[in-house]
Amino acid sequence: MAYTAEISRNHPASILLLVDQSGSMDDPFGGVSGSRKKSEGVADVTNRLLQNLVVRCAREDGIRDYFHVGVLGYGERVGPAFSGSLAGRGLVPISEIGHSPARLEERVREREDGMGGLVKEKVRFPIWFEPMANGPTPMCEVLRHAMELVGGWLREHPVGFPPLVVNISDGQPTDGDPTPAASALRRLRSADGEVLLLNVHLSSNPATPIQFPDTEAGLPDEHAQLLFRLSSPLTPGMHVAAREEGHSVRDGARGFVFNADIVSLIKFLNIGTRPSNLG
Amino acid sequence: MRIESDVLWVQKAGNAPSENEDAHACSGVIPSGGTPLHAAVADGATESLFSGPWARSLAQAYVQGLLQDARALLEVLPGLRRAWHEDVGARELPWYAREKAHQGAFATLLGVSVVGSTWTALAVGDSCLFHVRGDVLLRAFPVETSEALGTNPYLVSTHAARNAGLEERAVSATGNLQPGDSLLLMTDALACWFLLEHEAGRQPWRRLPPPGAAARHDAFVEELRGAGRLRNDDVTLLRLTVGA
Repeated sequence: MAYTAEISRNHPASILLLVDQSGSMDDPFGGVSGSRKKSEGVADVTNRLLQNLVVRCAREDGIRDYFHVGVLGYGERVGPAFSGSLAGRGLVPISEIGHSPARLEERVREREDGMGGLVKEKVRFPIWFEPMANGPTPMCEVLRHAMELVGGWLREHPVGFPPLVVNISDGQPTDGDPTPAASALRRLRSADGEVLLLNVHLSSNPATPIQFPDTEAGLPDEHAQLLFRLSSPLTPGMHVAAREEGHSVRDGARGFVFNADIVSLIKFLNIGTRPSNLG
Repeated sequence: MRIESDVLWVQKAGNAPSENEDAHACSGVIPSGGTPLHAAVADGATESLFSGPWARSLAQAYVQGLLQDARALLEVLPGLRRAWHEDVGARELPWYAREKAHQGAFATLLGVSVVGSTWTALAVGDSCLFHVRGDVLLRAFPVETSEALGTNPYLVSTHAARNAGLEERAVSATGNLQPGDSLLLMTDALACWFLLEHEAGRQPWRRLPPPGAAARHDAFVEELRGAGRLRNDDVTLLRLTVGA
């Protein structure tokens, strides 16, 4: 059965984030926080995805390299988009990412004291990726760039869990129809299955957030419909993860969200026992 | 009635023994004159940090006779949680470890107590007890079928807010022992193999290395893993064997 290969330090999985940095990302975001720019929303999604992956791989002895992760930006230029010491790097072991944020923001939050009370504590939130909005939206080009990176990974890891590509965009490509490039990317495969392409649509459209639809019929605009069509169907593991998060996903559901969170879907990448009450 | 205990404890392939997040404990007392014997296994969730120490503290509290039933568990947990928070809070941790610790640690708990010829058990999560007599599996608790073993069990947490409904999730069982019986306490990977074998009409308890054969533990586990019949995970078997 596909998508069942064990993800381990000996057989890591790769995750590649494609991040829209075009000029249109300067527009306001239509989601929950409507006054923010889409570029800030994209940076937030990207940093939280990276943080989530690092934290999932953290153990008492450090960060275990279950994942290798890359970020490709596309706008004025197309290429690796980490800030700080990882600048210019492609797929990077998750331990290096965890140890090399460009900066740590200090925030204050409350935590349990173990007796049912709360205490305040300072936390350091890592930033690897800064908001940027400049130039066109060369989605076809970034998908071809992703094929090269992912193709190289597959040559070195032909039997492992297939690469996961997450495209975060407002869905308005300027270099033509990305459908052929996306299809070619999704056809790359390891012995365990084809590459998975997920799309996160951050839109100025204030329509209600949508997660994992099974048809493009109810989507708010043609940009959302395009990104839906580019997205892989959810794997059985993703179906289970989405249902455990309380989403009512149907057969044919795809890895597409509109003005919504994708972190829940990353939880399907099984690297060990995950309590149902972890949240 | 004399009861011997022995343990099989093998870490996930690719990990060091120190990375084994399964815990086990046994009071080691042979019951006589009403003195109970307590034994426990606890499986720390690999997707939580400092779950190994949390699993050990749960197993040890059980064998001290502190966690006999759901009510006792609820009474004792705040103190165990506070100790975990004090321990973790005092550590110098990098940002990712502090963030993960903030999510809390999680572990299963399966405890068995024997008084006279009666056993009682308390379970949260998917660690399993099997009561075997001769050719018969008398009881599988709390999970009865391999299908019911998932990868996302409800577990005991260091965070009270994560344990709403714990009293209902903590389940109990009881049974009677006869000379020659075995009580097998297992963490989920081995329990899944055990149930699958039994569902196929076999007697998996006869495949387990006999007591005192510690040198055969690694080979036994590796053989099952190599044949694709045992999921790669930490493995613990705590076996209580009833003598004459």
